Amino acid sequence: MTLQRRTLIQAASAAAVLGATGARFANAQGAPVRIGAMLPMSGIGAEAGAAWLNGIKAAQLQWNANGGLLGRQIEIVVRDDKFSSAGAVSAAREMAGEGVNISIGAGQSPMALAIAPILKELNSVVVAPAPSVMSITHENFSRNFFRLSSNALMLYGGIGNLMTTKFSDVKTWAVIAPDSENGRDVVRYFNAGVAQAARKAGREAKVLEPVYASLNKADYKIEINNLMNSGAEGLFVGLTAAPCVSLLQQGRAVGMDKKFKVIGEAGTELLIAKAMQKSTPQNLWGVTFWAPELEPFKSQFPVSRQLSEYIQKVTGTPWVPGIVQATHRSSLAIFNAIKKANSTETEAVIQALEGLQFDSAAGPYRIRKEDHQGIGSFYFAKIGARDAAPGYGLEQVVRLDETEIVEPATPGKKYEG
Amino acid sequence: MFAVFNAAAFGMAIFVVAAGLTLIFGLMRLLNMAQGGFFMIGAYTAYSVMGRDVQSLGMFMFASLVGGVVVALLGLVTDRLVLKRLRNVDPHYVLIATFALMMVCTGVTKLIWGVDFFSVNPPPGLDQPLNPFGLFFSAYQLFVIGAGLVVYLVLEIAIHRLWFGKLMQALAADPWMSGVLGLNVSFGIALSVMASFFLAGLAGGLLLPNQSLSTGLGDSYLMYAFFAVIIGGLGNIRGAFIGSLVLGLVQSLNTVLLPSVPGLAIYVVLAGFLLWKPNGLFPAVGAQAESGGESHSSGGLHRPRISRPVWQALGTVTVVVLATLPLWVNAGPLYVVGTVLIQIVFALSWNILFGYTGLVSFGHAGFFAIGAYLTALALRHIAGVPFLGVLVCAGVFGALAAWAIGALALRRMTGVFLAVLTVALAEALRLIIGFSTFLGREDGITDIPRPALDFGVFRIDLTSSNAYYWFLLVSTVLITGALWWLLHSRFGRTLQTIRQDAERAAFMGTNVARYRLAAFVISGAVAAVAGALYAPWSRIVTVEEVHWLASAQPMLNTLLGGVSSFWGPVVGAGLFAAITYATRTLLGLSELIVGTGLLAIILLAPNGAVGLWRNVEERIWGRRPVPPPPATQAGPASSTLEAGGVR
Repeated sequence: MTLQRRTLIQAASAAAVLGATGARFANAQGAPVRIGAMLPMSGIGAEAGAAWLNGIKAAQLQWNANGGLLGRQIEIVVRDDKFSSAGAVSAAREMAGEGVNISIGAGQSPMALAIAPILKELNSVVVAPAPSVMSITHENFSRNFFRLSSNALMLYGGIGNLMTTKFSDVKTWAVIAPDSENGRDVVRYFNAGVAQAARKAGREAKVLEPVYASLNKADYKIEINNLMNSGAEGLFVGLTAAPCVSLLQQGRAVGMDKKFKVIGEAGTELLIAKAMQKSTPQNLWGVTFWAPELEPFKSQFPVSRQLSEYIQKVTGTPWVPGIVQATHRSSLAIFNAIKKANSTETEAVIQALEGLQFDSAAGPYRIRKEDHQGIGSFYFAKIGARDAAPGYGLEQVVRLDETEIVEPATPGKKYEG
Repeated sequence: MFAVFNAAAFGMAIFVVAAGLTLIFGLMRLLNMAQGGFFMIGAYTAYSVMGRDVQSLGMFMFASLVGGVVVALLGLVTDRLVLKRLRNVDPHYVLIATFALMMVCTGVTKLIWGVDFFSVNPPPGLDQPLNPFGLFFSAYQLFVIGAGLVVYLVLEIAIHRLWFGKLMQALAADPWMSGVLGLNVSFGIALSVMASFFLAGLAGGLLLPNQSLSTGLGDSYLMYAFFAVIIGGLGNIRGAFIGSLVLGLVQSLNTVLLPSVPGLAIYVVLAGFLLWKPNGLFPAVGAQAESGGESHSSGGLHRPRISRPVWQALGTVTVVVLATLPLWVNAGPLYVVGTVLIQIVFALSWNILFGYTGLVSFGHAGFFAIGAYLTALALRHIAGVPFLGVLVCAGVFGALAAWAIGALALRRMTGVFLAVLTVALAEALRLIIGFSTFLGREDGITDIPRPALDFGVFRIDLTSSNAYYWFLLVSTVLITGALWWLLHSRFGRTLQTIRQDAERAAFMGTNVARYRLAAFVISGAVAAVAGALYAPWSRIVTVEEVHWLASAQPMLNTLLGGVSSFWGPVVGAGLFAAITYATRTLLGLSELIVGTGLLAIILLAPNGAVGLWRNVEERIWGRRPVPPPPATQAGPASSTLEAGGVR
């Protein structure tokens, strides 16, 4: 059989026309809504990245099971930001190039600072689940960027506030923080939180000179010795992830958990107890995003029950780190905004996100219109080992309304607090 | 007092890791970057055996030994599959192979054990706090000190007193002569490799209760162990032992006396030490010595079958296609290609040193960062600053920094010692940037505006990504052209004579030190210009730009492309980016796949992509007849694989 060249060209043209119209038709009628997820899938942030992705998948599964978004299914497009600013820039540009204009990403401050300035150029909007750097809603404010997590003031100030209020017998606090800009924020705002709570309670509470530690080392024994000789009764650990576990592990070997009446930490949460199990310090308190088996999550927040159900479908286990709630919340914000805007266009979604109020697994949540700062409740929980599976968990949750501690919105201006 | 005690404990922890590194480094001249990865596998293996709560000291020791044995067997497999195949190849290519192995180790670890953190308690008896004189330490720290001493004594005796050690030394000194004398060279080398890997695995097990177990564990000790080996003198166990103690003491005193700048003293002391004792405390003798003048082979002169006009036409077509990219490629791949263009300039700058002068810099990212930060500051803080002037300033600053380092160091050291000096200085720079609020600490300088080129009569706005991409392309072509001209001039040929035989070059009247310094200065300047081009492209500059992994990138690109050709770094940068881009969606597997891919390329093309192409050329068209070469002295270590001359 021979094929005429003209026939071939005609067939190709017809296919092209059909393809183009068909594509438009499909897009309008049933092509999925594509949402980006720019998360660390390699490097030291891989563990957090995997948990964050699960939170997004749970929200996706839940909404798709209930008919999707704008009558279309939701598709998640994942790119590895390599836990680095360069990786985040690359991922953001690729997302935009592929037509994915709405994303969840910038899990940590360096990634947020890297991509926020370029989002306008890319005509994209990013909702971030966890960066705490103050400048992103102040002097580095971008209209295309939303922070749906506590900022450094709310996070560390909140910890200082709650710890001082809860442990009234602790009069002196020692602090160890990473030797970085973030570490200085940890110390500054923890001090502010302690001072605020002490003032409110009408008593004295003192924070000693902080100990700064390098993050790229495996040995914290000298720092531990300094902390234990400081005379403080309470300790706040500003290190997170593997360095935090190393510090507590090395501290346990020399009796640090017995020396301090209480130890607070800044967000490694159940990963500590999962790693240390029965060796977890008896008096360890940490920030938590979600504790489904405890109040108020258990009975007051219906979305928490939904997250419990769907996260188990995604991961096959109910025992997941609380940080899944951070990205679940970000996903819900995006889905609700698209629904409210009845559009996936960037400008429409930005307008819908500004001032959005919705229910998250951690209670009611709102996004402040002026500076795109998310505000809800802040939780602090006792972390510990238990005999029942999985061998660790959270006990006692303390709640703080973030409205009490959040700073006034001043986008474009440096926060001088 | 506590600082001294802690120095001993930390120093011994470094030493048990450094012991394996120094064995394989000294005996086989193998810079094993994967040692940290195998140390980590040893730790995970021991964890699988002993569990979280080890029941007895005996079980703990058994699990550590199992970790050692498993890693030793992995070492044997690695030797058979990888190292043996690269034994007759330029030794510097082994660097890229072990780097790839390091990625494979991390990937395999994640695949088997996941990304969770683990924490292991010391065994009963060692798991108790001690509190003499108000100091807080644990019985386990005493155990680590004891373990370090035992490992040292066993190695000292085994290497200097027992037949096994003497056999290893003989093999290291002259494998060819050892073979003639009837020694089983292959078996002996395999045994040495296994011993070295065993020590890495054993260290993983013994240090398991010392810190949390995560996939980042390998990195936390590798650099210290590497420095200890350098301070002690290559391949010298006693030197590594003292080097570890020195590092432990410096680190401890830094924390106690200078708590505001944690971690900085170790790099300052290392740099100072290297300038004082460029060959370490116990310089090795004979073949163990780092010759300094050692250079990679360039093999016979390669005579390409495809004529230069054809290559020129291909090059022109490539540039034209690259120029059209913004018209048909989306923002993602365009950003990757733009970054590759910058990496090409960066890798070319590194190859001026390595490929042409025979000098190795492991801290080249320092120069890149100087340019990047200078440009970021200028564009952020000085409105309307002339961008071309900023690029020139970046080049001048890079050149000045290179001149300062080169003038101090090049007369004293070359080879691995120079490489380590540069990495120490780059790491110190990274820490200093991290301490500086003006430079944005670890968050870096963000929201860097893109510039405009103002020529008075007309103005070119580079604000858009497309415009800046075209500017990058033009800059890369111009810089590449200028470097080609320079390196193919009399100057470039003189550099090559120095690389091939510095002594002979000096005998012929070449001022070796001056030429080396000139190459160092030019290389530093070009690297800084690459950094200056990068800052407005990414619009953020952070301390990641000075990380040792950033320094490894131009090395990987150059070695992957082929060090023996001017175009090797260009090809390598493109190839490396293509591999990482193609595997970017393989979530969680990228390290394993990129590592395995790199390893496969090195094994299939041990002289880089350009070397592979030359082999293909010769297979297809046969070797082009050449006039009879002058008699050359062929040594046993000469390459059996053609590396080709510089094209």
